[in-house]
Parts: sequence; C-alpha cells; structure tokens
Amino acid sequence: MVLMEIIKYLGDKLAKEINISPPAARGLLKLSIKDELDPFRPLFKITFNELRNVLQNSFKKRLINLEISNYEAIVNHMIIELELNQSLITMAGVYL
Amino acid sequence: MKNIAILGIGSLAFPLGFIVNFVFNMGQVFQEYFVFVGLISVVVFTNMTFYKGRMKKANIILIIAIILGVIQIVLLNLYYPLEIKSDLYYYLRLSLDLPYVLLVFNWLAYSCYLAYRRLKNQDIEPWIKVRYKLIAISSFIISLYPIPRYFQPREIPWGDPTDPISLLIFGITAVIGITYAILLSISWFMPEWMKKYFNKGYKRELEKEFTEEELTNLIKNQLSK
Repeated sequence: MVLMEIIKYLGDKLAKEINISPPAARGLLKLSIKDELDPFRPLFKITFNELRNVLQNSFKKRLINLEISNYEAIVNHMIIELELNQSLITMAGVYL
Repeated sequence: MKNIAILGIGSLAFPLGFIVNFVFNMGQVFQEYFVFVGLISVVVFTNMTFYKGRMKKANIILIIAIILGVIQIVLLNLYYPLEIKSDLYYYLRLSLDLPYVLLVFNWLAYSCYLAYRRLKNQDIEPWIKVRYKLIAISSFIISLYPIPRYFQPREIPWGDPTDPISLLIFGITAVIGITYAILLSISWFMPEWMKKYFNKGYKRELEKEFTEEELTNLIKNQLSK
C-alpha cells in the first residue's frame, strides 16, 4: 500500500524519538488513526488535516497512556515532520 | 485529492486556450486568460501539496503571481494592438512576463527539490523519489520558456520559416515545451515497468498487524529496556 509511505516515514521518526522499533511505532500510529477516524477507512484516503488531528488527539492520548513523559514535545515534533513532508501524501498517493 | 484536480484543470487550460484561439482566432488577450488560470493553478497546487499548515510564505507567492498575472492581462488589454508597433510596450510586457513564469514554475521546482532533499536518504520507494526529481527538473525547464522570446524579431511572425532567428527561437521553445510535457507525463503517469525498474533492489518491509494488546505489551517492553 503506497500511501503507507507517510505513515512509514512518521513511524521511523517516532521510533527514533522514543526508542522503540519502527514496526511498533507504525502500529501505534495506525491504531491512533483507527481511534480517531472510521476504523474501516482505507489508510490511503487519509488527508493531511485528518492526520494532523490524529496526532493532536488520539496519538497524544496513547502516548499519555503509555506514560511517556515528554509527550507534548513528541507530538509537536511529529506535527512538524508531517508539515514538512506532507507532499508524500500526494507524491506517493497518486497512481494514474 | 483536490490539489491534483486543480493541477489537472490548470494543465488543461494552457492547450485549451491555445487551441480555441487557433481555431476561432480569438486573439492573444483571450488566450492570456487561460494562461492565467494555468499558472495560478500551478501555484495553488504547490501550496496545497507542500505548505498546508504553514501557508504564510506560500500565500505571499500566490499573491505576487496573481498580481503579475493581472498585470499581463491589463497590459494586453490596453496595449495589444499598440505593442505590435511599439518596442516599449512589447518589452515591458515581456519583462514582466519573465518573473511571472519564473516565479510560478521555480516555486514548484524549489518546493519539490527541498522535499526531495529531506527525503532522499529516507526509506521510501525509489520511484517516488524519482517523481520528485522529475517534477523539479521539468518545472525548472519550463520556467525558462519566456527567455528566448526576448530575441524574437517583433515585426516577424512567430516561427516564420523564412527568418532563421524566428525559426530558431520557435525551435528552442518547442524543445522546452516538449521536454517539459514528456518529463511531467512520466512523473505522473509512470508505467508499472518503470516503477519496478527504479525500485530494483529495494525491499519493502512486510507490515505486521498488531492487536491492541500485542502492541501495548510490545511498546511497554521496548520502553522498559
């Protein structure tokens, strides 16, 4: 699934940030998406604004539940990464 | 994706304006409206694709492009019959057309290049990186389009086969246009075999789906190490 690229990218950044494996980080992001949006919504249909809301809401809650102390800084860093690399949503997502 | 729809409309506006003008002889002013739609669509696409959430700088570029586009339309409306006779109006309009086109396409090229630079060492499928490069290169090439027009003899029709300079300039702009069209088409309509070629040697990690419980335990274990 090509649209996974942005999640894969953010997952790699998150893995380095909190010292967990990339698959676990990606899993955390995907579960956060399911919390926030329709769980049956295909990942390739997620927009930039939805992904930003996921990071600000459900993702943040999950970090708090995992007792990660600097969760605010991590959320902010992830939002900056998303904003800087948002073009991946289009560049990896357009299959004509 | 709204941004792709906008880019599509913009890409259609250029040939549509040219064809309608060519068939019905609607005039250069009429064609300029289509050019305006096309160029502004490129800026809107760039802003929507690369700058959501940090639109300040992007909106400044959009406003400058709109102003330069409106100036082109106004100048053509006011002086088009005159500029055929007057160097002043002709070169004034060309001089303002240059920053207009340079700004629009190099804004896209620059944004693509910056994104590519950030992503080139990341674990991303190589064909996607090629798409960034192709769009950046093709946008830069088309941004050079207005430059040869400075050397077009004003009193000689565009591409006149009896005038070597006019013919040469026509040839150069045609090469620029065709190169742009080919590179841009490859970047957006890249065939599957080409994607496979660029992805040669790249291995995608198989994605494991975790249950809620599995993931929580996995992360807690990894965090406690």
